[in-house]
Amino acid sequence: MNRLSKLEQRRRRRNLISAVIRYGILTAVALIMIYPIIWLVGATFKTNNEIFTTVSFIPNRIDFTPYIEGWKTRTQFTFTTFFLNTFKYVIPKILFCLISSTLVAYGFARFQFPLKKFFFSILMATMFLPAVVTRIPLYILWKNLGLLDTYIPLIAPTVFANEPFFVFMLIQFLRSIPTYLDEAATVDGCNSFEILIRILLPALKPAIVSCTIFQFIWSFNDFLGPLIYVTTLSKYPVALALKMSIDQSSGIVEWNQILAMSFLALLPALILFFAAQKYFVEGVTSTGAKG
Amino acid sequence: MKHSKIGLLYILPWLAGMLVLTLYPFVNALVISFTDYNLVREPNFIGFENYVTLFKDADFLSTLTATVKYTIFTVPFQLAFALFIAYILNFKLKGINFYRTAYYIPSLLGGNVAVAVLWRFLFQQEGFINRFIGLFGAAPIPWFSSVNGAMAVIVFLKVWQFGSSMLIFLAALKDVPQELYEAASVDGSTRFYSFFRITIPLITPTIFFNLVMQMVNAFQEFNGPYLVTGRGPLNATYLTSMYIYDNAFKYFNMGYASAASWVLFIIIMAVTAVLFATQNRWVFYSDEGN
Amino acid sequence: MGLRKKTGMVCAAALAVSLLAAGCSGSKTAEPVKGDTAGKDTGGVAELTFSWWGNDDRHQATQKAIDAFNTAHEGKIKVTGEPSGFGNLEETFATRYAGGTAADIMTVNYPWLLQYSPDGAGFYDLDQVNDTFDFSQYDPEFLKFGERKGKMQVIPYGQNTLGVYLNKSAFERAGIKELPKTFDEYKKAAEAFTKADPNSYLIVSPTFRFAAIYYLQQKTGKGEFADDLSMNYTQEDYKEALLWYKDLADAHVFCSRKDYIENVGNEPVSIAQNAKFINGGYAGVLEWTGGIASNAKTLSDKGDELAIAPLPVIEGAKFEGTMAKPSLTFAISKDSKNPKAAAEFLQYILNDPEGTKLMGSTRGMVASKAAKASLEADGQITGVVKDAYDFTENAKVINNSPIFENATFTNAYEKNYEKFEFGQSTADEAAKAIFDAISEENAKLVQQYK
Repeated sequence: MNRLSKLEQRRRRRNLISAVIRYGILTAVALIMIYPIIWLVGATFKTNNEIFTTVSFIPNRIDFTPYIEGWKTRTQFTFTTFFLNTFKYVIPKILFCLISSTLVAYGFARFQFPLKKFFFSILMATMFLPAVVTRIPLYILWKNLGLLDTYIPLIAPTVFANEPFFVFMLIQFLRSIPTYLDEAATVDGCNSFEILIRILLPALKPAIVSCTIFQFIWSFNDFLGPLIYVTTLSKYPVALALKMSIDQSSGIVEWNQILAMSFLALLPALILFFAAQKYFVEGVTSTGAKG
Repeated sequence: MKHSKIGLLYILPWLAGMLVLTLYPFVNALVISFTDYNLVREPNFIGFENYVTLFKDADFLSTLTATVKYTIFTVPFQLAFALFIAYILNFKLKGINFYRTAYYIPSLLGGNVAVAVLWRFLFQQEGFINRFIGLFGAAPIPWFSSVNGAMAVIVFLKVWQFGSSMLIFLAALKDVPQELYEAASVDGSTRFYSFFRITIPLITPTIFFNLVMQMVNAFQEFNGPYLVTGRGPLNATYLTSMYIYDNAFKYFNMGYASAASWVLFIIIMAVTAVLFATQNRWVFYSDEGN
Repeated sequence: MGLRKKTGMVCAAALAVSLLAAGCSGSKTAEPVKGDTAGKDTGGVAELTFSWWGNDDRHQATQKAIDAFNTAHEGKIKVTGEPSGFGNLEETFATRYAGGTAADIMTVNYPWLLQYSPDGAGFYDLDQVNDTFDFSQYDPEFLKFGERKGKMQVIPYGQNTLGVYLNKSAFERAGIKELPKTFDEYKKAAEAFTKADPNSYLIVSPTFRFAAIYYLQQKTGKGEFADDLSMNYTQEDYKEALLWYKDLADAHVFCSRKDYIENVGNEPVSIAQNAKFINGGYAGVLEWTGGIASNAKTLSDKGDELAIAPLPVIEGAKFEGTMAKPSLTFAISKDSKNPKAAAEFLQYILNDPEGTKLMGSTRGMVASKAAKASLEADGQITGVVKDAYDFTENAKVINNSPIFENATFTNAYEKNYEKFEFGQSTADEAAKAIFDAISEENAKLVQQYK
């Protein structure tokens, strides 16, 4: 007995020490990870001089002028235009992506048809296909169709469920829904489309939320797409407007204005993330780990 | 599962899109790469000339070196870091949600231009990083104008975004049966030992998946160097995807740029193939079904 | 978990399929670009776009002129501005021009005239609107810059002259009362500067090429290219230029390439808004007169004064001057649906007393007599701007060849100087590389434009 409790004590002490080490590492790393963002928030309130002379993130004063001035920009457009422009393609992308990906995923997950294995393999292959190789012909295609400088090249792939990540995620999810529900509905006289709408769609809700969040964040953050396809200032999304602001000649001498706009550009993704964290983690893990 | 051709109807949108928006451009890139197409002139078929020129083009070759360097510096560090943190997080700890969030946020925001803006500020000559290391008496580092410094800046940016890989590892670690650790602990093996002998082998499929995904991404990296360091000193951070972008969308040498993109594609495929070929040696799948 | 293996096989399969398909697909991309069919006025409001680049002051002044024009033409013409910075100028223009999305009224860099309108049909023929736009305000000789194959393609705005502009206040703070006149005096001044801040430099040349040509013009008395577009400088000349610049960069007279990459970037851009310039870490700039106003303004916002330095002369100079080129030019898109309205707008911003007053001097010196008169009457030609007019009038210049601003040339200078400065090549190797790259591109251009 006595000996055991000594062992037990030692074990507890050892556990305590390793817990302290673990928390120590975790906290230190977390701080490193988050500090740049915290610094960014603080710097939006700092003067140029403060930015370049202090290490601390706490500004000397809180004053929202940089936000107001930065929002106005030095062009005839304000960030209102740039945010609206961004939503002009982000929202259609989400809608089209959800509709088309659900239909295609349903087709793959619930039906047997000729060449299915072959098509599914192609779907998986396109997920790994480096986008760099199709970029130039796509640009030429849209150019020949006279659709450069519109948002259509950005939206089109979602209309055709051509972002395989989402299709794959929904297939994975559909597979986990038992088929006896479908079968019961078939007996009740539902056709396949009704089954999808009435039975599966409600069950798919978590996956659909994940898709929405991912599509939103990726589209919102996308830089290369707009860089290639959008050329007119009045159509610029936030990403390009921000890029313009860091060019040497943007005309903005007060750095806090650029940083303030940068922070606002990060905000939508942050808000969405905190509002729907649960779905997020599920989304990342369900497509990555399994399959 | 129903045997019904109606399934084809459901996948039709994808099929149509795949043909027009993926397969056609994919093949077309190859066709264009054998021409001198420049958007304005009629294209002429010039055989392998673009490819021959590419391999004599010192700038292109230097971008390949830089890209390989970038991949070698980012992928292993990112994965090792992600796995290490996931491993610690996997112990039942209080506040795991907080930490998970903190680690994931950089990945969430990583692609945003705003992060590139932030990075430029942090690494400026009089920026935060140099002020910070100054506290320890170190001399300021000219990050953007030294060959290694500029590479380090974009490598840090990438490694900083280890969150997605970490979440995937975390999910895989959760699937490792707890009894195995307990058994090992009874056998008196150390944590260190059980991590390498039990944990790692069990999650090799996930490591493999992350490795392939991150590698494919790293080979195509564009935003980081384009927005933060530019070409860098002596083209230190001039990656192949930037070179392709410049040739295609700055100089409109579509044929030449397509050839470069196919070379990059073949390199990525070759590395992927090598990884797949080695997986029999070190990747252990628990079941062969699925 | 057969999936992974499958993926590998599929990748290979996809490759094989595409290789097979390659034979019968494609080549449709070859279709020539069809421009938008230019229609007549749409009846209602004529909507126009106007693209330009520049700094803050230029953006604001131009926007004011646009607003005033729109108010005066309420219900008839509406112009929308499309400003951009100095980065990726050529890239942006080329994308829009090639993609058929160019603005109705566009700012065109002088050398682009040769590139985009070698046959005189790349832009709208401005003679069609000479009843709207008053060409008599320009010196006929000067207007010839805008012609191509006898067709009036672009309107040149004014002359741009390369000069040295210094932060006079920073020099005074360093204890230097009189601005340097020779490079030896600059070296002495640099010593005083680096004592206070070891990272400071006196003159930023946005690209090594500006300084190199400045030097070689003075040394040889000739421009970079002759009238028949052939090359004037030898490999030995380039070597001398490399050594001369490196020596001055080491002495902190010219900004080193390393410092430029650290604080500005890879591309040659205006440094008017650069933090180091504003803070006096860069005490001056070798730049076109078009940029004087911006540089002066950012400094004066901080309480510093910009001055035009006397042109420094090298030892044994055969020519004691600098180089010049037409500054911007303006063109109307050949696809514009409202060329008349566009000409009306150009008339407003280039010749109209009110419009030119609003546009101010943010684009450098004006060539239009009406514009100069209205600016003088408005009291806008004062201070550093007046100095710039005087400087332009008095400076001895060699005019740049229309092929001057080819990106390949600038790259050749920059890349090889960078290698040399970073110790990756010797002066001989760098000079040879510059000479070879320029010869090659020059031969191509001569062939193309002969």
